[in-house]
Amino acid sequence: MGFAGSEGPEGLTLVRSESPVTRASVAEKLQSERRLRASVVVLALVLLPEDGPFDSGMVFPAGTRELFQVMRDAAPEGIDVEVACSDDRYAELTLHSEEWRLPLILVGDMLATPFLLDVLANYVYDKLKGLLPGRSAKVRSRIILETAKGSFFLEYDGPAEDYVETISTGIDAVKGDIESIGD
Amino acid sequence: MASGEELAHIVESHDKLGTVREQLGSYRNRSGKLSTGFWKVLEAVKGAAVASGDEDLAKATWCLGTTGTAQDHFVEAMDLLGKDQFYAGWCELERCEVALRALRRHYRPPDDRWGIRHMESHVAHLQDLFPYRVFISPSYVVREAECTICGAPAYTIRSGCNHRTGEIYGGEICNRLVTRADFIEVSFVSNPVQKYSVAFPERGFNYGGVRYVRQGLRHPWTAWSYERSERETDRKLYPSADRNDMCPCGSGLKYERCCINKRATKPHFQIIFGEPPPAGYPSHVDDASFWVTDELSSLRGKTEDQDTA
Repeated sequence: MGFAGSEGPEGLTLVRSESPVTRASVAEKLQSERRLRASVVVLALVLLPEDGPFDSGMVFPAGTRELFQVMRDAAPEGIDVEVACSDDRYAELTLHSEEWRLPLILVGDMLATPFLLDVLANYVYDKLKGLLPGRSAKVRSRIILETAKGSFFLEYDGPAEDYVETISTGIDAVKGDIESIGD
Repeated sequence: MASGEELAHIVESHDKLGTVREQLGSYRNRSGKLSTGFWKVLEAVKGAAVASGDEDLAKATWCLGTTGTAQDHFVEAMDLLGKDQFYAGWCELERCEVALRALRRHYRPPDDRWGIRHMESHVAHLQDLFPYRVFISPSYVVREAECTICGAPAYTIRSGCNHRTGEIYGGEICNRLVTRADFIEVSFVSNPVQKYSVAFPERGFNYGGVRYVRQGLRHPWTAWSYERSERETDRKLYPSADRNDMCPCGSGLKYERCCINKRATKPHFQIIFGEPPPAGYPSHVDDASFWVTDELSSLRGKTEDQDTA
């Protein structure tokens, strides 16, 4: 498929069917949250928590709420966005270095990818505007694409300026791979 | 809410902000910070704008106030560096950068009428010359926070306010005030979120480069730049290696067949001053004779030409 296992765009790793997180595994962790559990199973875009360090529980990267607000407000009809966490358990992990960590995003409908790329582009562009001339920043992002043909895992760890274009290339590779798999 | 272009028009030409702009524009002629009169006028205009619901004018006052804040921090930093208070000066540079970064998201002037471009480039230049490379940086899990605009809980996903961090409301920037957090750990990092937490070695730092530049500037707003290169020294690159050892560079070859003739290098900074430094200023200073820590206040260097180093 695409460039899995071979050299792809710098900073991008694309793996097929080896996502460490799936809808099922997230839904399992939300046993006590029936409504949320149902959302994770059906919605187009879900922001997922991750295990925090040193038993600090499930956490989201700093700025997740802000990104969620933008996604929710901008989402077109038919593209529903949710955060897989109840209000009272929501917590953000603030790390130390100047890297922009985005939440783990589960894409359950490939039709939502153009919207997702638009939102991420605007979000990163807005942050880049605040950088002084000559300074750079890194982005860390993981996206899971769950399709009928399998699960695809995109991981980016590279310059903020190249983030959206690289992720877009990765998504295109996944789409190409889905078509090549056939019915 | 005004577009970026409309906001720029208000910032640059609204008649109620004329005296504010004038004072900001006089930065090169000022040796100190902005007067209290500047802040009073700004507060009065902002107060009236908020009272009348004019969010755009209120935002314009924030832009000009943040410009003034950056100017004041920059001037303070240069003053402290001129007194050899290097860490305190470093912190002022960081505060200046924080103000500039917040401002850049909303407003960028078409020219350097208020010194914004000068600060953006020269804060970065000065930071590059500082010897600080490692920072102690904490990480937290934030459980609860408040919105600084309305006080609503900021860490609830589906309720709370719609204010966005970094946006301007009623002439104030929106931030998150953390009210409950779990401390996780500290790490040593090279690119911290905030640059205050410098890891200080016991032997102190060499501030020679910073001091050389600051004392060579006739005025805090004098332009300068630098070029960095590596220069070979007389010292061997691997002085403890024996010629029959495997080369320490990891090539797999014997040292005598690999790096035996290589010499260690040291960074060399060539400073280009926008206007000639004070008379008698050394044109060249060497690390060995220019070790300057927070405690050592004497400038030691070779006196040669006076224009560059």
